[in-house]
Amino acid sequence: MRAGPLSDHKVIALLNAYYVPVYTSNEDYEAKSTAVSAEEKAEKQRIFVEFAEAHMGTGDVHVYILKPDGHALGGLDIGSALDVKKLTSLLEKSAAALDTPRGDPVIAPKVTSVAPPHGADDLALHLISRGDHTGTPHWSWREFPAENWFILELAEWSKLLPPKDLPIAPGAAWELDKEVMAIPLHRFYPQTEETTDDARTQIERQSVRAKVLSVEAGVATARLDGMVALRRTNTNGKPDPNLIEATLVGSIQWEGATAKGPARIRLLQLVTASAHHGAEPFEVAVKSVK
Amino acid sequence: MNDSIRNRLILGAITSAAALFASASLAVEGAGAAPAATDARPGLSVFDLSDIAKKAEACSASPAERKFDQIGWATRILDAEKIAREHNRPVFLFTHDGRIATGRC
Repeated sequence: MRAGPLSDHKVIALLNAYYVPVYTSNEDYEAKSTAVSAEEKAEKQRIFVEFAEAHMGTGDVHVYILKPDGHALGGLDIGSALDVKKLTSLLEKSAAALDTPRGDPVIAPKVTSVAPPHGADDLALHLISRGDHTGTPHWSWREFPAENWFILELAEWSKLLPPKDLPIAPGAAWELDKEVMAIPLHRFYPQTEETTDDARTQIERQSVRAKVLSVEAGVATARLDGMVALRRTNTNGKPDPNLIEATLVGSIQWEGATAKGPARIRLLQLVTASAHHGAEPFEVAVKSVK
Repeated sequence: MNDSIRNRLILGAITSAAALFASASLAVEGAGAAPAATDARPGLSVFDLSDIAKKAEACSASPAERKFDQIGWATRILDAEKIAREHNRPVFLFTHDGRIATGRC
């Protein structure tokens, strides 16, 4: 949907001009989830039941159109909604049936993938993954890059810096803390089908070493070289037989390198120099965000 | 950027993953060690720090891949319904598995 109808200029214009659009991840509405309130869960269930009782169609992956009073007006199953013409027709007919006047978006569009709330002492990392999308079949999850956000607390990102007893000068080298580095490295795989938050990555080998290139006015820059090899289980719970392997390069720059006071990471970036899932190449980049 | 940073960072080529992952190399490096990335064999890519930043940027979603963000989305159903009542507009609700904004869970 995202790379298809929800990227179509006419669909975007209709949604902004006549509708209040909202998307929901089903996992957030499961009983065990605390991502949304009980009232929010109940409202989604109410909508589902109302559409079912009205024989207007329901589904986990589905488009529902509600009247301004919240009651059922229409909908489309995902197969039909992926057809831009069918979705456009539904949007046009529904707005016309309600005599909804054309207007500006009632919610300002904004970037939807942003860092979770975090404190000033935290380090936010943004990961982007791109797999090959030129072959057949054209899986929908390969139509745009996948992203992850990680928030490292001070106690975590501090472990990425060199040991206190290591003199900081060009050539100084150390291994970045494996436990902390594993946080982003768990996500060094190409876009794939992901329907739950279940942990499905097992890192078999990993290493990221740093070597100081320069120290200027208390700011040190080090080059990073590393590798990761990991395995994943598929959404059906079966192990993916293909090993995921990547060589990595990056840099870390931090303040307070020569002082006894607190240090602060200015920049951490790590990209795949080469990466394969089985025989398939992919790319991942992770970078700190201010 | 000083001279030491300008020194080119010789890395395994993007197209030469197999060579870089040669098991012999990993065995030599031993457990917990990163593979050396100073191989200057012909055909290997060369990175410096700006190249790393460029590659990170190149990985990012393009504007064409972010058209989804041109839509003014509400964050919750109840929020959408409240705004719908206030503006007398219908609600477009898309329910799905996974995370459409990131492609990851």
